[in-house]
Amino acid sequence: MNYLRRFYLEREIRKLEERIKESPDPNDFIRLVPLYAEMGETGKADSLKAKGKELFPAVDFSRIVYEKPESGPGFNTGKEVQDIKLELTDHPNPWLYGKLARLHLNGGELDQAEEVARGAQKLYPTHPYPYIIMAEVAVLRNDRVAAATNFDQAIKLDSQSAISIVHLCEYYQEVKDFDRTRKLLESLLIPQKGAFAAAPPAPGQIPSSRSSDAQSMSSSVRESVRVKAPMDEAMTPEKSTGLTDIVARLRTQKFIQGVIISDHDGQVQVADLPYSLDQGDVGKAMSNLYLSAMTQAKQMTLGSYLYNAFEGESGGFLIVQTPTYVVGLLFDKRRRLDQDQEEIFEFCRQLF
Amino acid sequence: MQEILTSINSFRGIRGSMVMSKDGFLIVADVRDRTDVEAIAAYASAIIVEINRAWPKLNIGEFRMFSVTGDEGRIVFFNTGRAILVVFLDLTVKMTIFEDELRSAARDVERRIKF
Repeated sequence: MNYLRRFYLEREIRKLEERIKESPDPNDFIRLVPLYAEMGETGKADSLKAKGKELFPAVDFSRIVYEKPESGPGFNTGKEVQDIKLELTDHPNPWLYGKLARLHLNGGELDQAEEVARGAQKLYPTHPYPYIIMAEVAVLRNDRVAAATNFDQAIKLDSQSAISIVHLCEYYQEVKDFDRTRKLLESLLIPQKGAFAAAPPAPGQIPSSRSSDAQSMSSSVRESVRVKAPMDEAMTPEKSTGLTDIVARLRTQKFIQGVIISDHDGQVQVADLPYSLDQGDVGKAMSNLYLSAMTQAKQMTLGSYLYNAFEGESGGFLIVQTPTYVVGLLFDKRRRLDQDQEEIFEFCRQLF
Repeated sequence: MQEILTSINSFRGIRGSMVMSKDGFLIVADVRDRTDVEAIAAYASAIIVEINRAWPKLNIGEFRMFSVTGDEGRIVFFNTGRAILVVFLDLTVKMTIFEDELRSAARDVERRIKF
């Protein structure tokens, strides 16, 4: 299991444990058990099932399924491998090759996994997934250099590959190249302009080298897929990239601890928040607070909504409406928000 | 309680003030114009519900105050424990001038509110 997945699982487990502690709910038990199972803590999963059964006798906890069928007891890997191979003959695509390689990886068959990934690399030289599989094989073999080379290649092909970026960071951390580590992590925090265009092609768009016009299609896909990798970006001087630039300018104010910008539909466009905060959670919170205040402003005889400010004992949050975006700013606890909100509002208005 | 509101309203630029429960019921009000304070208390409670939901995600400690600013005015809501002190402001005035007094008034309200 890569540690992004582990990080996610640990966070989910923490959340669910807290909820169960506050007010036990059978649905939370049902969600938590497979998470423990995936973490390999089957003892905890079993005791949790028993606890759930004790609290909610009417619920049948024995029917809880594992999140991944291949991780469950009695799963026939051989049959699954055969099925995927059959499907590959009819509909070859890199994701399916990846699935096959991953099955081998899960079964500890590193040589087979590598063989499948190498085959996929030859067929789809511009797709990042086979490189990720190759890198994961290298990680399991403790070959850090080969892992870094493959992750680097995957990032070059898909600049938003979080798995590759985080693994590569781990490598640079190990060789004590902290500058590269920091810059790579920054590339995760601040999405680059055109990030969506950098996504790897969908299975249907992938040309196979077996097709007659594979060469021409392959080169066109390569053109569309190839984007500047985070490493290239990180090692060259920063360019003005619209919203990213605005975030950087806002962050020059020392009392601003975090910035999040979303569109009026609540879609987060860019964020630079403290590590302790979840971008998705803050985005949703900001969107709901903004919509609620904006709707009520007129009713409360305030005219058209401009901005609203929230103050807690250890910090503040200011939400500013601009013609295209909603901007959320997290403030230092030493700053009294009521002193600055007008100035910040004007500052934001000028930025946009 | 009325004394507290009267002293708040003595500042130039303050249009009125009121105390409401967190679930949107008016407790006492002192406003100059014909503002429908009961309706405002109800509208404000909708925002308070949203704040209660959103607050844990922001990680900025216990909720103290919030304000909503429009192009015709500003309303500031101070958390006073069981109730909310609401102050109506003109946009022409900077709250910084009497900010300490308002916070002190909020503490007075907190001391006097007994449910």
